[in-house]
This record gives sequence, C-alpha cells and structure tokens, in this order.
Amino acid sequence: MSDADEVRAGIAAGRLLVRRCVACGRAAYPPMPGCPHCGATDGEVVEAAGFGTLHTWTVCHVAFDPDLADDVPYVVGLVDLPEGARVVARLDIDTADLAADRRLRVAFPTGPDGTRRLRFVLDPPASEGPA
Amino acid sequence: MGEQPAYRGASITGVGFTEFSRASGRSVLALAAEACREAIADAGLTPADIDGVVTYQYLNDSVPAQAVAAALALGDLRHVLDSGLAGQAPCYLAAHAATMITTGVARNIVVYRALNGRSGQRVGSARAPGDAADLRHDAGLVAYPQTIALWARRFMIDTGATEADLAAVAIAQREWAVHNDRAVRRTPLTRDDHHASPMVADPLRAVDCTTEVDGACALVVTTTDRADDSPHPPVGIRSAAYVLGRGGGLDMADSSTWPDLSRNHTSLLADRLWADAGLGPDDMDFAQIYDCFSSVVLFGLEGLGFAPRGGAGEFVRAGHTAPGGSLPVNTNGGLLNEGYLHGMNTLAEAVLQLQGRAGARQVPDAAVGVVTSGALQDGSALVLARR
Repeated sequence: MSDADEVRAGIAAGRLLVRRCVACGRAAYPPMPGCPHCGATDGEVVEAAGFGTLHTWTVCHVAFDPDLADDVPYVVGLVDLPEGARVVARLDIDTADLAADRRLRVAFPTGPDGTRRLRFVLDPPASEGPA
Repeated sequence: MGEQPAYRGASITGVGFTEFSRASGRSVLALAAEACREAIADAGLTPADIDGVVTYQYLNDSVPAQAVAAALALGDLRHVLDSGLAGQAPCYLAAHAATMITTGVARNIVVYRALNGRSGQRVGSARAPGDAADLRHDAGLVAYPQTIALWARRFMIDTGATEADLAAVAIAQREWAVHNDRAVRRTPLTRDDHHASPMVADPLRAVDCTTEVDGACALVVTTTDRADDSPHPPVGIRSAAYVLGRGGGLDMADSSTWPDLSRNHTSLLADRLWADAGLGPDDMDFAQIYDCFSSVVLFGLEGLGFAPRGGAGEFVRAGHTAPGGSLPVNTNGGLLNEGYLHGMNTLAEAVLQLQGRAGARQVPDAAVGVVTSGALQDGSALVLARR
C-alpha cells in the first residue's frame, strides 16, 4: 500500500491524477496523507486538466540506472500545474525548445513493455521541421 | 535572560582523518575506528575518556556508533546518536554534541562520518524509499546530481547566473586543492578544462560534481575546562542553526512543494545564525560552504549574505574566494576536490584553519569562520571561533 497507488493507476490508464485538498483546494503530487500546503487531512483524488508550465529541467547525459542506458541523453523536468501541484516527469521535447515557463501538456505514450508512461510535450506542438 | 546558548559551553579540540581513496580495501568500521582514534589522540585524550559517540549516515551506508564503541573498546557510554541526516548533519551534530556536554549529559564526544562512498554504496545513485522517490525514478530522475541540476537551472533562470559562474567555483576550489595532500583532485583546472569536462546532468559537468571517495573523518567535542589542556587551540561555537524549510517534501530530493528552487536552507537560517553570533558576513575570515556540486556554493554565498542576489558568480569570478582573496572559500578544495565525506571534512577544515594547522593553505590569522552542511531544503551552519 502506498499513498501514490491511485496516481500510478491513473498513469497506467492515461490519466494524470493529483490529490486535491478539500480545505484549501490546492493539489499535491505526490499525494500525501496530509495536505503539504495547509496540513488538512481531507483530500480527494481528481484528474488534472493536463497542462502546465515548465519550472525547471535537466538534460541527463549519464545513465545512473542501467535501464536508462538506451535513453541518454533524456530530459527530466518539473512541471507546475494550474491545480497547484508540481509534477516530476520526462519531457519529450527537443532541447532547443527548453525554456522557463514554456506551456506543456501531458502525454501518455506506450513504452516497449506495453504500459503507458507519463510524459510532457510542448503545447502547442513544436512547429514542423527537422528536429 | 542573557543566558548563553548551551552549545557555547564546549569546544572542538581534535580532528582525525583516514586516507581518502577510490577503493579503500577496508571495512567501513575500520575506517570509522581509525578516524575516531586519530581525532581522540589529536584532542589529547584516550579512548577511555570518551563517553559519547555521534554519527550520521545515508540509507545505511555506514556503521553505527555502537560498532565504533566496540572497536575502540570504549567504556560506558552516556550518549549515542545515529542520525540519518546525511550531509545536512555535521554542523548540526557538532552543536548537538556541544549541547550534550554543556548540559552534563556527557563529557567527551566523538563525532564521525565513515563510508566506502566510492567502492561501496554510492550516494549519488542510491535510491531513497517512499512515493516521491518512486515517482522520480519513473521519470528518470534517479540520481542526486540530477536533482541538484534542477535547482541549479532554476537558480540560473532567476538570478542570471551562467555556466561560467559554475566554472569559476570549480576553478577557484581547485586552486586550493593543489595545496592539500588529502585532496583526490589536485591538478590545476582551467576554463577550457571545465568546458571540456563531460556533461553529467545539464548544467552540471563532471568537474562540477563532488568526487565520491572511501574514507572517514571525525572530531572531538569536549568541556571547556578540559579544552584548556588540549594540545591544539580549542575552537568554540559562536552560533549554530539548523533549518528544514516549510515545503521540504517527502525526502531530500523531493522538490515538489519547495517554494523557491533558487534559494536553499542557507537563505532561511542566515539571519538567525548571524544574530546569534553577534557577527556578520564581513567579520568572517573564511567560509567553508557545503559543495557537493559547484552550484551549491553560489546558493550559499547569496544565502549567507556574502554576495547580493544574482551576485555570487561575479564574486567568485573576481577571485574573492580563491587563495589570496577576501573570503577564502572551501580551503581544502571542498567536497569537489578533497572528497565527498558529506561535509564532515568541510567542518574539520574549518577547525584546522582556526587552529592554525592548515599548512600551505592556511588563511593568515584565521580567528572566525562560517561552515555550512547541506545543499537543498534542510541544512545546518556554524560560526566557529578560536578561543
């Protein structure tokens, strides 16, 4: 049992879920037994609108986990959602398009093992042309 | 009213080190026991004098205080503490030990950090338990340098800092390391060398990252009465502060609720640290700023008030932190170069400077300095002074 079980199930189903505090209305990701913003214990799991802005990012050039050896270099970012949560996620974005406060939307591409992954992409998509 | 903080009533009198290496070929307990034995002797004490043992680890990468007590055949212990605070701990635990001594809980406490941090369990890629770590892992954020990189990037966005500022930190600290036999990295570093260093987690290159090592470091805290008889000048704690900022998240790499990724714990504790010391940044003869990564030094210089917001890079590039500068910073070469003993060696270097024992890297007439422990949401700091 983990406090994030519903969030993980949401990703598997192609939905970005966050825990919204009933008292203050702000969301948390990862979800916690108490609201990290106000401490209230009543929360509900809701689906996020699915877009946000890029708060910060790093281009990872070293595969610190052997499972990521085929992925480097890859981009990880923190995405601020309008619901008040900040989500950590891989970004399927060309490094040339990385910029503070860029508008992003969530995507759930299917990995080689057939499961959905949480990703963010540019919104609107990057203009057509060579990557 | 007018009462002194309890940590003022004790002194740091000795330090001890093992060799720092990339493969010790020894157990962590052997390293811990050697560093503690050295520190106890350095303080002019014997193991029979020690009645307290304090240590810290990260995800069980070390040996507990009890094991060191056994290996040193210590007598009845009145105080032990095994903390999981990692690099945030050294300043905090030194102040804690001093408080235990002043309040009569124990008389002579040894504080240590020991690990086979290179050949054994490596912190950089160790996986924390919990939901935040699991979700980070799913996102490919699996190593500490990547988390630091997220903060460094936001710091650059908000303050205008550049890669040249990161390079300046790495270069200045290497100038210090050249004078330190214990440093693992000792060859001079140029701007071109920095630029050629492979990117690890953008904007951090390999030379912006600490070098993981095997080793141990310890210090001894004792009563002020006893300190008068110690072989080296006793070092007192003028002020001490720890803070875990609100919104600190579920673990040290959880940045999901931190309000400002361009400011770390040093920004939150600085006012308290300076006020309790009755001193300010201009009074410091040096600063030993926790530097698991070059970017963290920029956070610390601004957080503690040595440089204005957005001014840390210029401060370093102007040479202030290098040998001969107005504010020597990380005079052992820092964790970047001496090795990643998680700030225990950062604190020990401050003690050596104040005791006048830093050899070729000695800051002339060093009488008071500041030390920090930790990089992100929580951490601790001390203002230390030669008694």
